[in-house]
Amino acid sequence: MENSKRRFLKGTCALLAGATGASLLTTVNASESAKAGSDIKYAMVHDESKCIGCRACEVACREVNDVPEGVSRIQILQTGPFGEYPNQFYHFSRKSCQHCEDAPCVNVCPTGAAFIDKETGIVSVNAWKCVGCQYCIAACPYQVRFINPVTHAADKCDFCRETNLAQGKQPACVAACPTKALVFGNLKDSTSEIVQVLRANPTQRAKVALGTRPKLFRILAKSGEVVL
Amino acid sequence: MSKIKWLWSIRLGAIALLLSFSAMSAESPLQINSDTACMKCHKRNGSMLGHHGQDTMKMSCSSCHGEKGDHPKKPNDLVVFGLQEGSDLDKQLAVCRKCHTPKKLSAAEWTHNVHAKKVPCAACHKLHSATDPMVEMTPKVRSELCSSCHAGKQE
Amino acid sequence: MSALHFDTLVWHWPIAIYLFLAGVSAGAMFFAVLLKHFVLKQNAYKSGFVRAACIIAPVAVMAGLGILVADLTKPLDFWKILVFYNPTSVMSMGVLILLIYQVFMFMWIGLTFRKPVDDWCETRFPIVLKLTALLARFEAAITGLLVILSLALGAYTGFLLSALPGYPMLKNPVLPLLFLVSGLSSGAAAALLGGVLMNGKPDDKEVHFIHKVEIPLILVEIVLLFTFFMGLVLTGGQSKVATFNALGYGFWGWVFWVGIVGFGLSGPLAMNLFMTSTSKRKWAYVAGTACLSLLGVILLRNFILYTGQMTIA
Repeated sequence: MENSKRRFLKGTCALLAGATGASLLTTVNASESAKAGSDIKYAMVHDESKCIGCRACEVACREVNDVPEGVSRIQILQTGPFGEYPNQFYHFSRKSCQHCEDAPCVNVCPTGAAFIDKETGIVSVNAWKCVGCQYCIAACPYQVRFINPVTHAADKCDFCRETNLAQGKQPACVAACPTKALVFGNLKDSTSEIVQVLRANPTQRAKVALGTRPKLFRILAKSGEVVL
Repeated sequence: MSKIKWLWSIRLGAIALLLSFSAMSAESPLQINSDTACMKCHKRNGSMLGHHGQDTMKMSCSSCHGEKGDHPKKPNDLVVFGLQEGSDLDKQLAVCRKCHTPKKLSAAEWTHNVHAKKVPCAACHKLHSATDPMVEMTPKVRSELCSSCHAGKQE
Repeated sequence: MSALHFDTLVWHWPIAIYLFLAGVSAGAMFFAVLLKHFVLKQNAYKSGFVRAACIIAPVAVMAGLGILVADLTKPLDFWKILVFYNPTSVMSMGVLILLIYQVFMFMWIGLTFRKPVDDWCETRFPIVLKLTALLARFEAAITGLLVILSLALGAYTGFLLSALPGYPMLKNPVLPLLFLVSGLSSGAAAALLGGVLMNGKPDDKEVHFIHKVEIPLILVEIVLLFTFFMGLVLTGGQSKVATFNALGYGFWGWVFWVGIVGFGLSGPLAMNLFMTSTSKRKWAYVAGTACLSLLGVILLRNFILYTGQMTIA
């Protein structure tokens, strides 16, 4: 009896150590290959000082990506009015996927349907693999994920990875913006417009304290409410 | 045989009556369009079919455009509405603001607040047509309207 | 904002029921092993309480999985969870644990009821005897792994929620421990309730044993609950906001103070202390205490799930 107990304990410990080691190894390997992989890392800047709240981006996104009514991949949130009549103004901010480097949705997805595209750094969804457990929707600190009522899979902004980007065009929202408030580009290309914009302006990202390292930057409007 | 003919004539008569009735209601001459002083010349500009023309509002052309005065012979004080070829901005705004207070406008639509005293109402609203294009716009048409002015601007 | 419908709510009550059932199963199995090992030894299969636990554990875990599958937006695609695994996903690892747990659970149940099984199969399916003999050779390993797996399953129900960084109240290291302990006590309660319903005697030594373990378990649960909220308050920011949202006035405040602290923890604790000191155990006492415990745990799961999602980071 004593002997069998000891053997059992040894076996269990070995099993646990092996399993932990293996899973750690695969995780480390995955992050290593992502680092080494590609020379493209897409990001976006929303210049809130240029945004007029026309929602052309919302309309274009819906058309290009065939997003059903009732759900949306991008929303322009509005606060205001600020100031006194007749010189009033509003503040607009973009609510859409932040394409986190360390994405909670990707970490929690049980099937790997939520993934980070190694080529581009875009956080994307494989609708076929998705079973609709909604863990990713609960995990996203930015509340940008939703269940697509047509496919029944989780859905969200993928920088038009399967539509405009695949055709060599800018994302629909960027192309549609009349005031050029949206800049999209490759962070690893130091000559790209987005890198120039990021160098020239102070920018902010949402909820950085959570350690998600988002890739959606905002240039704050100079006017507007000071939020504590 | 004669009975069937008879029935048919009643049916045709009824249809003709209905048709003439609907044709009449389509034309439905609003009181404002029989304003002879204006319509003598302005018939070619089409008639006033919009919300402000309904009889119960008891408005005339001059309610908005001002008194005829020396028009069309000499320079006059008539108000012309529009973004490019309209009267002075303040003059246009003053007419609308007689009834439409900033508070009500603000409650109806946020874009009123940011455009107040910057563009005339007629830049977007068209009051003579049967329906104002600003009523029941699709999101696409709406955003296109914004970019028709804002495009390319770096403000 | 209503208590049961609000914008930031993603997971509804079926998930709470699933977490509850997984906890009950893990706890029932855990106590069945303890009863057999420390109290009943080879006669375990004769005990109504062990029998009840061995019925409750598989039924609860399968019902839980059924609810989980039915709650998917694509229930027919659930097999993809079993085929594709993601080592960083708590849910994926939890499903793996659940599957292995069930294998060991059935092996252990087979071993515990070896004698009746063998007797029944002796003439009908003699092959089964070889199988049980084979299992018996690994009894120690199976028992040990089952204990580890049931503890892992109980903790998993908490880790599932604490892996959500967007909700400061759920992203809390105490949560898995809290759910583990309350899951174990719900399993004990389910075994007691099932046992007395299956003609187990309320004054049996099994009941004495479980009650002896349950008192410290409830005390630990109270400490963990206190640590859970104290930690949140001291973290400050949205964590603090979340705590006061949850524990303050309103529907969930009532659920917590009256339902969980009152009926779910104080009630069973008082009853257990009373029964231990007076050594009076009546059918109604045991069943009533078990029902209160179960009610408290169901409420706790729902309370944490809903109030946790009310406040975002």
